[in-house]
Amino acid sequence: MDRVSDSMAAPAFRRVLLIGDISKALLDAAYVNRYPCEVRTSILEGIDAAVRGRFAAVGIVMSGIAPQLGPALKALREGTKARVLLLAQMHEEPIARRLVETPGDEKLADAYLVCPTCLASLCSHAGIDQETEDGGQTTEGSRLASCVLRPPEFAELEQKIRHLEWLATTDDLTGLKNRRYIWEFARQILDHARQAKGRVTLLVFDIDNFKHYNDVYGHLAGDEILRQAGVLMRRCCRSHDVVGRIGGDEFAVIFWDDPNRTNSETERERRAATAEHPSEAILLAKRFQKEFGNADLHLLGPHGEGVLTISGGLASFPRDGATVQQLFERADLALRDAKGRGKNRIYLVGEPQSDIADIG
Amino acid sequence: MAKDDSGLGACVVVVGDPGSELVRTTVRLAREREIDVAPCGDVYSAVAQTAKAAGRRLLVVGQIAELARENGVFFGIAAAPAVRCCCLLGKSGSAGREDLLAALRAGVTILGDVQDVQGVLKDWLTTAPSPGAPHSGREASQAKRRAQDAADASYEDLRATEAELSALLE
Repeated sequence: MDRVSDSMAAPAFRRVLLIGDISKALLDAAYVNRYPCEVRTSILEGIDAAVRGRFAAVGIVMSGIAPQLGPALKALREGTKARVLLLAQMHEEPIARRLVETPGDEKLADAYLVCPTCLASLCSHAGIDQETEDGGQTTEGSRLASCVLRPPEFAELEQKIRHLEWLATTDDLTGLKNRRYIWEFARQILDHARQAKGRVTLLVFDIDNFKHYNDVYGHLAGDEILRQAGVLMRRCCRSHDVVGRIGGDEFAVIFWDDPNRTNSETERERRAATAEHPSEAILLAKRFQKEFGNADLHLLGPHGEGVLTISGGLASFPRDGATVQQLFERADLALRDAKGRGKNRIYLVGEPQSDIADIG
Repeated sequence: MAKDDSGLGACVVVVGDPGSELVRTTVRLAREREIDVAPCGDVYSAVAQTAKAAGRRLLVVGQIAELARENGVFFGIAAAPAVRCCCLLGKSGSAGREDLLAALRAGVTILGDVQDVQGVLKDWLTTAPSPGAPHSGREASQAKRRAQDAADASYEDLRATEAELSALLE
């Protein structure tokens, strides 16, 4: 079989094979028939079709197939030279990234898309363009007939799509994730945690007296404080934790079980922590609180060191709430409680007046 | 020693741990008969190998617990005209009853012992279709009849077979 990159010389592969439950991955899964795609819900049937057919790419929905993913990807590599795309839920991104970034022959996938995504984006990543040849009156037949591979254009299109995705999910001031991403990620990770009995902790915090700094030192100084807070929080967290700015000077951090750790490790921790807030989340929040307090901001003048503090609230799933809305409400309530009791503290939900500073 | 004289490019796909007795025995027997053999570590690899070898006569051999993964989907894939599949029952508890029934419904040959592979291989070679016609009408109709027979087997028949297999598993 020819490689996708050889497609200029070889007859173009014009279809994408999707394996798994695409309703979990694609916003427009119902319209799959309008695209040059075939779907197999069973992994084995998918591998069979991928090897027998001529596909530009094979997209595999990662959700719910963690144990089978490795062997399935190896089999696809053995049997086909089609581009392999992973359709990863947000919380599966660390695993997808690792699979894609593995160097050499061990690399089991070529790219990943974070879900939910759409068929047009998928086709673009697959290296399939759709152009109409009938004056814009696109029919299903003309779509299928006109799908051709043109790698240079796809690289450009893919770059634009990635930029749009970045704009849609990132807070441009701090470079952290934005509110939209945080809420969607929280929704997905709670779904996952319900099935896998995982732990998720939400920290919501804001910068004490931020309006004062803005008014006295100017908005540029205020922006710099926000940026510093973002950089420090990111540095204090683990790579899989998600940090975002959800508005004004308000930030949210989602701590969750490391997807790269073994099940037995997390299971042991789960059993120990079903009734408590996970100790790692508290430790990381404390670390950030300390680092931020020691941050030296020249913009605030010679006395700018050690003046910044934060207040926050920390809520854990499942003990403090079953939904994203509930967790945010509880964490926000604890944040306001912390503010009301003098600021510069992070309160744990469900434990009135419990400042994390008091936890050893 | 029977040898594959059919010239059809027959191939044995053996699924499982390369160090297992089943894989070692099957590889040895196939090589003795100068038949291509493709060892696969798991059922996912076996599916890829089976699809790649489409058009050749294939005999798939593996532990039932491995081949029955994913609700026995592989048995359906291996029910193609030029493919014959046989499963070895593992130690007690390694295969569920549903796995066995799925295999039986698909017309899969069930083996009770590794040494049974020799008989299966011999039978497979002697019932080879005419050269150059791996998808001939005869082979296709035989496969269709096998699948139909399995599908037509009454529930009582399956229960009886299940009882026999349960005895084997104990």
